[in-house]
Amino acid sequence: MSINQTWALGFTTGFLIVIAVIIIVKSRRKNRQEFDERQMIARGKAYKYSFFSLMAYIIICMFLSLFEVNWAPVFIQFCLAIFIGGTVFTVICIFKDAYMGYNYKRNIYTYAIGCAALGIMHLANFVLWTHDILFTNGMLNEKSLFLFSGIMFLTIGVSLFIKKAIDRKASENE
Amino acid sequence: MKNLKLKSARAALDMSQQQLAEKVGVSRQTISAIEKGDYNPTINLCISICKVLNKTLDDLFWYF
Repeated sequence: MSINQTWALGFTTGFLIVIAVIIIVKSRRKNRQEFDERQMIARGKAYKYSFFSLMAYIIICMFLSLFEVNWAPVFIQFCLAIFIGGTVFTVICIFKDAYMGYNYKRNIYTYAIGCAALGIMHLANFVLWTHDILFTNGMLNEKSLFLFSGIMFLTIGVSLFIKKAIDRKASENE
Repeated sequence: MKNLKLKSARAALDMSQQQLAEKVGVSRQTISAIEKGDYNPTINLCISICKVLNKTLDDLFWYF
């Protein structure tokens, strides 16, 4: 088994474990998040924009492949699609007050700090591990995923901070 | 169009947006959006708000 295959297997295993843990934790949670009607509509719109951005990305990838521009392996192209769709959906939901349910009581700052810290960790890992080398043989290498996931988590964390500040100002003006 | 009737009815009961939101079962931002006129609530939500504020639908949501 080559290093690339081992890496891919490790990544897939980790990914599946994270999904399994999320499903188990969500099913055991007593007070599930609930969304009101406005939030449901906002989430629907966020899904729509996320889908369109994914379509735009796929069309760009399609044309690049049509002109035989090999910029990244298929695995990385799919990962980037997940990052783009996820980030667009999450950021729109955050700014439309539809990311957390109306019964969410925990401190959002904790969540925001967690996301930002995760983003910084991924970016630091990217810098330390790759030494800023993004491309191998003219194609994005798998280490570049740390850069993109770092950007995704950092964007989510920063969006939460900005939204919280906007909300605080709005409550003061109420 | 801003819903000033809702805002004044809420203020008359000395209730914050958060308190009204909790009683109705929506987020504070939803109440804020209704008051600003950014969101048009469904009839079910209108009825819930009217019940909490002891008002009729005409009192809060009829503009003509």
